[in-house]
Amino acid sequence: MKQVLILSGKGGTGKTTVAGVFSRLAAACVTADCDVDAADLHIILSPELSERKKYYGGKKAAIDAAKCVSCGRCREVCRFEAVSAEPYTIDPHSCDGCGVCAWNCPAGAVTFKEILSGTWMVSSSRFGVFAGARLEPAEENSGKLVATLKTEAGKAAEAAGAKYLILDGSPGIGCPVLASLGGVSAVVIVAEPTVSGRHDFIRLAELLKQQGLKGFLLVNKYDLNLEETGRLEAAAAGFGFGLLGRVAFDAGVIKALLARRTLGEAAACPAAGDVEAAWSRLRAELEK
Amino acid sequence: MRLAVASGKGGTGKTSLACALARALGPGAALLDCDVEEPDCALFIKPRIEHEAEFTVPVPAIDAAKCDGCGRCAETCVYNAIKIFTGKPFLFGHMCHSCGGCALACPRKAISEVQRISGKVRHGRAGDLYFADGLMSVGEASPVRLIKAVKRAAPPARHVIIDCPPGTSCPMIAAVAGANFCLLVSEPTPFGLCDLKLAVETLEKISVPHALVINRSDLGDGEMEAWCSSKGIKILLKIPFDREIAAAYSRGETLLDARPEYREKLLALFSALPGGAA
Repeated sequence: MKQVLILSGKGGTGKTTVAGVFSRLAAACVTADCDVDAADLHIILSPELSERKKYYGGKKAAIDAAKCVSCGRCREVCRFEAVSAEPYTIDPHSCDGCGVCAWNCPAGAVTFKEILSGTWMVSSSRFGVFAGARLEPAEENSGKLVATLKTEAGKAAEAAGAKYLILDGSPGIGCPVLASLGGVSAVVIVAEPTVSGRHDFIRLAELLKQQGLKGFLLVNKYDLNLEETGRLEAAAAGFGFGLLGRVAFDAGVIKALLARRTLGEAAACPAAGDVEAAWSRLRAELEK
Repeated sequence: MRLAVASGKGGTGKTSLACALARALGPGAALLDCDVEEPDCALFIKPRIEHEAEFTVPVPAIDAAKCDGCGRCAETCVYNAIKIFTGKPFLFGHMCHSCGGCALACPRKAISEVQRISGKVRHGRAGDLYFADGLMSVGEASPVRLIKAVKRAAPPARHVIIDCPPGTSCPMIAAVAGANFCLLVSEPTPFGLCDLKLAVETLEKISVPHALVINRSDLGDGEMEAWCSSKGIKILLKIPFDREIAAAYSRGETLLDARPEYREKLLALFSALPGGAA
């Protein structure tokens, strides 16, 4: 089974649109939405609803006011600026769940409990198995949820004998992205030909290089700025990445999205043809 | 006035709007780029960097001569950054959250903390606009501490504009926390709306008042506006799709370079915010 991860560095460059098309073309695949912070792939894949499993990402501390002796030790040892004084309370959104305050409290006034930080499910869509998760808004440990989701999607792929596992990733280069990298066969970076698109592409490319992963560039909206498209492709070549092609700036992309369908599913358009061609190139690379 | 510019979904125009707003406000304003994983404001604002400092986080260093392999450090670490193998502790540095717990827990005082570089903080000026940003080192997992450091680097400016990272989890919270108001930027598509709902839920949880700017407002459907009206969320500005704005953006130019007429609209938007009076 080959794992294909779609990333971008910069947000909003078209990861989910590309993932939708790959999911449609990679017959009987397993697809997982690893952007657990802002998951959108379900909108165009419309998976069947199934039971959502609870995800406990960690613990949070809280102070029992009745037991607190106001010594301030918790505030002293907290590295996350989560404790405020008089009365001593813990801001759950700043608490990192390290537990240091709990075991340093001389009065035993800090409770340290598991919290529900999200849910995940494995279900089916018209293109095969779909695995999705949702981090509760304002929660943390998205990396751990991504890792959980990947493990479950991997099991489902093994069970289904799927040839491909298509993973829609998160923007950025931090914890959820790092958690999505394990075991992937290829990373497709979707980038736009803009000054910021190139800057963010290079940071992600450096991360892939550091992790010894092979990347492929797919330029979206290439005709917005041909000069920048050339620079992006040159930067990708500098990293030894493969080029999957160029996708045209096309109103058909929004149309497909508004119809809640994958690009090219209901109607052909130039951008759909470009992403389909990119999949053919990638598949040929993966089968080498 | 501390104004956060956030979105949930990436690529909706946060950086564009934050840069244009800061430019429009001009003297006495500060722009902080808190999207430290992928900071892009500097590409548009082109500041003169006056100061650049490495940003470090404390990580444990274990003195093997003092360690007796009791394993208390590994038991303490909720991040699984220390494991005991054959009676000896091993550090997995990238898992460490710098909580300092292991050093406090070690009964033989065998653990001290050393500083590891995890990024840099820069500040400077673009004309009369104060600017600061952070750049997380490639390979680091958490941007949260660096985001807080960028916010601490802000001068006592009258108005501070904070460009936030996408998403609705810890990095976004760290960037938005302490803001008087949050301007959400989205686009009227099903993806934009889905992520906007999450962003609103997040801001409600942390009690930051907010309103919306709809970008590429003519490339979508009416569901976002209908939802906002049902939730009582104000839409302060709609920016229709404009190929000239997109092309200028691709070259590293701001909205105001492409369409100067937005200066007045942005100033009017800002002065109507609570605390936004010039």
